[in-house]
Amino acid sequence: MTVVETTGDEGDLSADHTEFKVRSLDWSISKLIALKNLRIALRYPANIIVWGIIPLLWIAPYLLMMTAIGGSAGNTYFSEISGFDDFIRFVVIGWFVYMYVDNSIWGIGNTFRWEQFSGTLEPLFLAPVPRISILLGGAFSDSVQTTISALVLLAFSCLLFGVTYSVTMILPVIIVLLLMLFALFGFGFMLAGLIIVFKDPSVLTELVDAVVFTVTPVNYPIEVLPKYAQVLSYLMPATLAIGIIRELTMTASFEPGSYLLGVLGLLSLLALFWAVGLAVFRYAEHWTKERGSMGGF
Amino acid sequence: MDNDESFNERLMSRRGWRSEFRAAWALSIKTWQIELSYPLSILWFILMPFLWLIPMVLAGSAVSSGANSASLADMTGISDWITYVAIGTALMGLIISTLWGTGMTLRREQNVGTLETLFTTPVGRTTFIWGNGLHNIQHGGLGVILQLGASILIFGVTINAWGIFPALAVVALLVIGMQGVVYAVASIVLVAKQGWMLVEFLGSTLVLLAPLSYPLAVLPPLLQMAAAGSPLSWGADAFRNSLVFGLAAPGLIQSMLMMLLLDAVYLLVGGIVYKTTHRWVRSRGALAQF
Amino acid sequence: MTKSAIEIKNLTKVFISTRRRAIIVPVERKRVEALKSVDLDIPRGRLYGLLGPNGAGKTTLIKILATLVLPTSGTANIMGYDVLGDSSYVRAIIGVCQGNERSIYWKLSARENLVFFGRLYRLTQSEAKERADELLGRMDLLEKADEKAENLSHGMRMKIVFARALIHDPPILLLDEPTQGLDPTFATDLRQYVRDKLKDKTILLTTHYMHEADMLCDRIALINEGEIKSLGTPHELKERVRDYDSLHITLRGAPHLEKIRAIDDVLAATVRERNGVHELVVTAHDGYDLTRRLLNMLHDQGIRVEQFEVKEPTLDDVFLQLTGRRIED
Ligand SMILES: Nc1ncnc2c1ncn2[C@@H]1O[C@H](COP(=O)(O)OP(=O)(O)OP(=O)(O)O)[C@@H](O)[C@H]1O
Ligand SMILES: [Mg+2]
Repeated sequence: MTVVETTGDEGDLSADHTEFKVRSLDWSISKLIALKNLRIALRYPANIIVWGIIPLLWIAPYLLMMTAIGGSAGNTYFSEISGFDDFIRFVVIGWFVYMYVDNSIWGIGNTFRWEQFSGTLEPLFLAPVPRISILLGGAFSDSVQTTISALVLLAFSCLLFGVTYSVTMILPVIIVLLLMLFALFGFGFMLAGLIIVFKDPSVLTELVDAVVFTVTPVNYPIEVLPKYAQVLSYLMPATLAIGIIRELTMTASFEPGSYLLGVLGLLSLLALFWAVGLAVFRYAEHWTKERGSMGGF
Repeated sequence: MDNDESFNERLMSRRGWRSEFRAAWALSIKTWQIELSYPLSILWFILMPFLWLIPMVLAGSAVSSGANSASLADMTGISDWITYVAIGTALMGLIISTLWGTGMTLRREQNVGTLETLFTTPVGRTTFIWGNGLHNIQHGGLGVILQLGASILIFGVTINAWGIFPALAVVALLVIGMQGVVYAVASIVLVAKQGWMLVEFLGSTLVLLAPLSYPLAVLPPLLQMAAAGSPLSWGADAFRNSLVFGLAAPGLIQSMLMMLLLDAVYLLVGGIVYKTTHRWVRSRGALAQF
Repeated sequence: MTKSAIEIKNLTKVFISTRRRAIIVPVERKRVEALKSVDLDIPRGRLYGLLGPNGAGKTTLIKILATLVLPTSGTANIMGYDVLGDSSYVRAIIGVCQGNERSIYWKLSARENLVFFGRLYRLTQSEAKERADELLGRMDLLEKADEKAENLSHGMRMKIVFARALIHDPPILLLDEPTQGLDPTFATDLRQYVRDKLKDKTILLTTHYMHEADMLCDRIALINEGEIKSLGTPHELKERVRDYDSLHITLRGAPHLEKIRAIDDVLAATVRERNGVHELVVTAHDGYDLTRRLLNMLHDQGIRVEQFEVKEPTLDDVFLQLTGRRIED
């Protein structure tokens, strides 16, 4: 859907930080990379804004189509199956959350794509720092940028489509977003592992993004998915998060019971994705080292 | 190597559009070879057409209880909304692949480092673009067929077989018009590092302004007016109407004439932009930079 | 038809680059005169070398001839075709090799690369295949012909890059640092190939390896800061700056330096000791005349001469003399 060219200047790491001990995770490295990325990103503030505006062009076709097909009866049918009264409000907040998903997928994919072009993957991975920390650092800074973009998107959507949301439950919303974000990092590790093995970042990110987008209830309630797809959908951290956030911002009701249940669900997904993600990435690294095909993108 | 000169001279004498077409063909084959060298790309190639359509169908099914939509029928004369959306997104796949695939051709060559070498060959400067356009028509065309075929099998979409002929003519006109846009896109990405942003904007706007998954009637009036200036708007309706109503599709001739007119304008403007940019890039010596 | 294969007249190239920070604000404008009114004629069948340090303008000149860069002013003709007006003819008769292993498709095999580029030079499919096999054979690559370039070694990829430039058998070759980054044996092979197998082609080659220029070129143009400082055969160039000779003498025992310096005609004398062996370097306007007197003196001092050599100036010395700068800093 989107094609981004990130500036892949992580390559300069090797020089400065040789004194760090090699551990499996090194938060100071992540912080360092995140800060460096942010410093670079802030030099091009226009990009972050533009990333809040472009998705409007992707949301609009869905809304227009739903309007055209549903007509005047559309909203009635929609609230029957989803429990929410207005599909425009429903869709917009869905996209707001999905921005993070999109970003976690594309952020990783583009990092690798850039390395592929410039041939710096090997030097980057030769740096004596845990690779996961490098990826994580990138993910941190991306998340900050995405938050700005997503807020810009939300603001413009509200203006353009004339929708409003309740902000009284802002704290629980933030907690859910953070949990989802961390679970997505784990998902990103998994994706990074796949990319290292398949060496095809463009297609892989497109493919993963398309599948995740389809099973995530962004434009439609989860009820319209076939049963097996619903199971897959609930494995996505964004599904739970979008559901909870919709409740919180659209109906402005806070039910501690179901909220806690949702948070617990997110926590277990977080643990699951980190475990699987780290394992996949480790395995992938090992796999490529054995075949000696790290640089051969 | 005793007849050195003569071999080269023989090659020198091969000029004209037929040799350009052969070069274009070689370009399109080369892109196939590269694409197919990635293990996942075949999977992607098969799945891609559906990955556009399925979310659309799901979204539609959230607001319509059945296969027919009264409001869509009011606006377009087609009540089966899945047919409406399936044909539209099939075309969208072709357009997007042309726009990104062809428009980004030069950028990709730049990235892998082969652009300068390509530009030292005697192939016409515009041939690089439409040669890859040739590839994307093959690629995207197969996608359209694949998606429509599957839509017929899975979603019960029906197509009027006679309509395939005018539909092909419409696609041809559309592709020519899109070449104009593609030249502009190629120029943008050749010059600007952040060009993809503009391309994303351009592509998404073209798609937004075209009746691909909804009729233009649901757009605000101002956007409806803007849509009339895009060949894609005329092409999408003509393509779908042909496939649904066959040879008797309403407004077919009028749409095709409009497209002919718009094609001429787009090609002219795109061509001039491309030529100018090419000159500029050469005077800057910036072919290899990005 | 003119006798020259390549005619360059008054060629000037000024690069103006603006550095931008964001999309809107240009930060600085920079003007670089990469070529200053360059004149160069290369007769058919000759191998000319452009020798100069980094940033001298070598690549710029090659790119202008290859129609990749537009000149600011001046003209350049190749076999009578103007690089501006008849650029598509020019491209058909030149083979360009930029010495960059990225200039072929790594995802394609050696053969696929050659066939593809052959097609762009208007070879038919069968001609292209035949020609590709012929070149692969000559480059000793037939065994690896169907291996993707990404799986080949650097040297093999460079062979493909080089073969690619020959696919349409061009009478003119523009080689921009073809041996850069190659291991010495392969670089030597390539030079041998250029010298022996491409005799009838007109070649313009850039390099900053002096011995490469020395070994290959019929004529060398020394280029610095966009200007051709001197043009001639390697020998002529060296003769031109030959206003002194240096005598290199290896001795057993320390010579009396002051006495040597006192000899008429001696410009300078230095001595360096290494492992008990003294190396004496004496420069003079006419080394041959000095030799006898010097040897006599050393003999009188009771010093045994192990080795004696009158060294000619190198191209680097020439360059130093002309520009005050060395080629390989
Ligand atoms: N596209 C460009 N824009 C601006 N300046 C340029 C450009 N290309 C080259 N230059 C400048 O022109 C001058 C000559 O560059 P050129 O690449 O021709 O040198 P060269 O002799 O090939 O050097 P090297 O031995 O390093 O390859 C340099 O100062 C360079 O910075
Ligand atoms: Mg150079």
